[in-house]
Amino acid sequence: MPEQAIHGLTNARRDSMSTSSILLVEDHAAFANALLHILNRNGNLNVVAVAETAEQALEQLPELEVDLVLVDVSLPKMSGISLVAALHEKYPDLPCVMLSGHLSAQYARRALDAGARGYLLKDNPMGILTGIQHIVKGEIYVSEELGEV
Amino acid sequence: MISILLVEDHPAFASVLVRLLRKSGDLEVTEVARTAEIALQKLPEQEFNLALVDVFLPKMSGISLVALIHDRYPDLPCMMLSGHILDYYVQRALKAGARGYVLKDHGDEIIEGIQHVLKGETYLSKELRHA
Repeated sequence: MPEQAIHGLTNARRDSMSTSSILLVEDHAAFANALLHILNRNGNLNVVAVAETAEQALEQLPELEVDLVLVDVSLPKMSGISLVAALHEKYPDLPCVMLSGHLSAQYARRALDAGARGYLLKDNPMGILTGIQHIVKGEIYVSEELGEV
Repeated sequence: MISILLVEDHPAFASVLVRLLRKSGDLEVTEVARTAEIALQKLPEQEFNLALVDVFLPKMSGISLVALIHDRYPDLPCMMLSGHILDYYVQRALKAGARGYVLKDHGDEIIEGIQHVLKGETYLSKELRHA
């Protein structure tokens, strides 16, 4: 993600009270771009920053005002699940959501146990949107394709 | 006649596409399913020559549906319909077994894509060919 893109995103729609600001933690550029497109065209969601690693996310977070963190399960070095656990401890009121390519109830369970408020499948763009809408309302949401976790 | 299963949750787009394909000659949408789950119920009930699947579907995603169709009905080609150029989803759809990926607002490409896919080829909208 080029620096000017992050800058542009940071300034976008910050004034809107009903908008949920999101930090996306994702090292896969093609998925990050697709998700930025999907989320930012939705009126009340705004990705304000993208971190490519868990370490970057931890560094950026104190300077950001975000309502939600979307975390890819597979990150280089520190894993997504470890990041969720660290965020849950450090910022207990900040909801974290796991993004995953794995249709696995076991992964989902591990993410929820670490403190994630949701587990959303990357291949399901509508599911990601629906899930986030539920999670920002304080609910826990797991992709419907996983059934009961 | 070519029998098509259309999996699309927007009724307005579905009806426009049904008319467009009918006008093109021998392409007939014989079933419209509004969700992947309904499509899976309809699939054993009749023989289709092609499935047109929207990427954005509620509940089960279009990509998961294509992966299931590819597994259960390997001879039924699937072509994805999408409103946007999202390289990630193009690659994921092709990996799941989709034989084509076309943008919804390009009616001529939808018809061209169907013809290519029915001949056993893979087809991408012109704007996606760098993907």
